[in-house]
Amino acid sequence: MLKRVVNALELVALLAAATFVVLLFAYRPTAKPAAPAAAAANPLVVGEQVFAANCSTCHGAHGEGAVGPRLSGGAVVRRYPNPADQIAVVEYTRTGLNRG
Amino acid sequence: MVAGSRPDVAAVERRLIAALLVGGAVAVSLGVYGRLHDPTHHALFTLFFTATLNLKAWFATVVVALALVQILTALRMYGKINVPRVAPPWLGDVHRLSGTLAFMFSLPVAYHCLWSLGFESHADQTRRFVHSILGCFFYGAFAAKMVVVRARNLPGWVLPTVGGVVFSALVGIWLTSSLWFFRTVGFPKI
Repeated sequence: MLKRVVNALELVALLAAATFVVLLFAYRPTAKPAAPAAAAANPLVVGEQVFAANCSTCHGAHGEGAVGPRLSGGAVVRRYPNPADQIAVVEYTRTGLNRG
Repeated sequence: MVAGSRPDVAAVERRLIAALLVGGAVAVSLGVYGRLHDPTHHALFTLFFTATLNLKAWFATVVVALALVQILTALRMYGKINVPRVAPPWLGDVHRLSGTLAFMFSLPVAYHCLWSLGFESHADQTRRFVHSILGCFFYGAFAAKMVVVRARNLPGWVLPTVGGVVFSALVGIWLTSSLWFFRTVGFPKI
């Protein structure tokens, strides 16, 4: 019985590995649907959506830091008190990270 | 092979070289993909975790736990430990089951690493650089082990050695990712 389960699971693992390879090449992130008008009017809501989609992977869901540095708790404001510098850093990081 | 004769040395060498080539091809392919692919920096599914990174840290921990089961069952099968005193008949199946589950748990983690973050090629980013190298090496070693497992008449030391290499690479991966995550970001940090 256990042997049958393992045999079946190995087949599933093989399929999963094949899917893994296909998705590496085939899967492209889809653009987020446009925010509702009321939400779009609120930059905090839009910013939250943009952060969740593009930044949370490295900086954590709440900006607590992970692969990327901590952003929450005033860390950004302390380091870059000028908002223009904050925008410049985001732009640099966004383009710089994709240079590989 | 004629009964009683020594294994055909050339055939053994061919199988070992085949395992090395397959493993090398897998490791290099993943490394090349990770280097050339533009990282998307997009999160994947999170299940009940707070974020993808939390999921990855815990999935990798599950993989290590399952790999430990593999090591212990292998040690018992090779008679290196005597617990339990009589090896149950299902020991080999549990060994395969834990290995298969470990592999399946590792796939979403590796997918996010490669697809979302890419290969860290700057050696000054030591942790990420070592993690990237070990990640590619792990799957190469794993592929080589799959070839070795199915090859016949290989010397007895080959399979435990390759298995040990796979496990060592996995531990290195865990140390440079999950342990770092738990120490830096927090624990248990679900």
